[in-house]
Amino acid sequence: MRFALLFFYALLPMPSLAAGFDFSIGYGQSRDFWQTVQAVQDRTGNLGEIQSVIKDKYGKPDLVYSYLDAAYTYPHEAFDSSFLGLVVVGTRAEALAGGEISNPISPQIEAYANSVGIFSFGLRSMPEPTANSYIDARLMAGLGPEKKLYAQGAEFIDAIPVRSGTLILGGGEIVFLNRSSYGEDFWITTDILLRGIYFHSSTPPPKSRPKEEKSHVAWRWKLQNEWLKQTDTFLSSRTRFGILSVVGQNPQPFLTLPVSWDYQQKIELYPGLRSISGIGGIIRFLSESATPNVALYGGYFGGAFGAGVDLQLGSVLLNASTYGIENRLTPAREKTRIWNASLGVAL
Amino acid sequence: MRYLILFLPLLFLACAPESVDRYHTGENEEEIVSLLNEREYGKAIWLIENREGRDPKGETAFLLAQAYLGRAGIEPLAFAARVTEEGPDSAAARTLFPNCPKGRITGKVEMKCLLKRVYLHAPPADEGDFARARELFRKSYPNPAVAPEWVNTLIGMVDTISLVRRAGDLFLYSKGIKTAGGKVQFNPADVKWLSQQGKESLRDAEQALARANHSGEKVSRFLSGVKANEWFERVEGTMEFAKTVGLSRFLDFVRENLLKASDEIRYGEALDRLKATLELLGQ
Repeated sequence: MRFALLFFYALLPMPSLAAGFDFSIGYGQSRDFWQTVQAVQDRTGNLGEIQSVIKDKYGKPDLVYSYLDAAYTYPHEAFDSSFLGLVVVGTRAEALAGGEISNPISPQIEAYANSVGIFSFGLRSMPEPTANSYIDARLMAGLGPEKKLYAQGAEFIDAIPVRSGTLILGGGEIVFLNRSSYGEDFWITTDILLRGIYFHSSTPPPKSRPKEEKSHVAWRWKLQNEWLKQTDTFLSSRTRFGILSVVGQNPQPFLTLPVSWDYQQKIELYPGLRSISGIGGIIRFLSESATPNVALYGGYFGGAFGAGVDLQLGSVLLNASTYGIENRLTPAREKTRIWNASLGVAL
Repeated sequence: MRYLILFLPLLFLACAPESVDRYHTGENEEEIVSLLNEREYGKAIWLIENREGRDPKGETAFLLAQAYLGRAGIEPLAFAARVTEEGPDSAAARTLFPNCPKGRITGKVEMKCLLKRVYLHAPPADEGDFARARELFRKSYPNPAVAPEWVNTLIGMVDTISLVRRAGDLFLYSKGIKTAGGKVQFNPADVKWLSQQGKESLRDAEQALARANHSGEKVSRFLSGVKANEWFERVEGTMEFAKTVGLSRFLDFVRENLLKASDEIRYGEALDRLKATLELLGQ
């Protein structure tokens, strides 16, 4: 959503005030895996009933998350630059839960849940009508409670212990957006995200997996491009259509996953070509004043079909989308279909 | 164009695997576990054997063994659940310890009844997929002392199922032997099978014990959902006994430890015949 909000600045018909406020909320889910966990826990010692709960759930990871992201910006006087002319102070609250049961021959169950509060501080470009590039660079730190569960094989028989602790994180993030036109009717929009975060959890490892990592450095990168041709259609005189390409971990366009997802999934810099590539089509219907506008997109992102719709109404940006998200809890890297909705407001 | 220039190096950089070996191992495991999740055991076997040959090592052998075990119809949790659920009504079930409870096992149950349940759900010990799974498991982690606990649990479970199945087959076989004038008569063509079952039973028992020694009570718990340390304590003693005194006296030991007096009255004759058979085989 932060991508979208920056993009939104670029599309605003009038320059925003130098001091501003933006916030976004988002929610996405497949199913609540902790309900399955509870069902298994309730049947402790009864293998027949445990088996009936999990027999059709192998390789079907689940995920649910929500977040609220807010940022306040104001001009600074430390140096003279419109490109980095705003100080941005942000806060974010997010909750994430998920898990997976895998491999009926060597069965294992893994679940996690955490909520994190994150404070961020950095610099952002001033929105100007003539500028084509925007940047948002921040340092961030946060912490919150976490709980985890893991069992393998015979451990299914006993009460599976839920382990809990605190997750702390610290790092930085740069979001860069550029929009360029070539000739009168061809546009390329480039979004780049680079984020490096150090995570550390105090949650103890499970007995049967004593070497489980408690710390993780996650490097997330994403390059998203829209290659758009503008034409006149009966729906809009400024209809832009073209290709939407994404590379990076979780290459789903316009999707903001929780920061703590990178820790729970232990993301790698390069998880494989299939896991970092996404391509599809997009069509934007812009009004003369550029607002409101609608965008529809769909494609094959990270090895699964995904699609969504963006609706921009004044200072409000709405998005609804569905994607297949790769889950890295097990070697199978199964995908789970999530349904995501978000709302962003820039004032 | 400048954006294409930015885009392409990133793509090429991103495509570079850390190392070729790691790349292939990772992709293999990803595909195989995915196929296991879908219970596509045949496809998993085909994929591994086409890529790695029929004799893979280490973790790949362990994955292949899992695929064979699945194709043999054994999913450990499902198997354990079946053992504790209502017992099947088959000829073998009616012949073998007929007084054992037939319904769901909820509390403490006699060991022989638990073994009977395992026997009734076990595939034939020498059935192709099951036998191959057993051999691959043993080969993938040959040393129980350094194998992960769960690996020992799974391999121990497979060997225990195999042992129970052989023991049950021998027991049922003995009940079918005809006697004429007090002398044992059996089909000489069965000698090879009997000899093989005897030897393989010892091998299964050795493996099961070795694995159980490194996975606590988990093998028996996973197999039946019941704490049964004594399974292995008794088997261990019996193994030592069998090694030194032979299979026929091994049988005596089993009778002493597993059967109650009433069972001895009921099955004594059949076991006598089995003992005589084993002696004939020179064990």
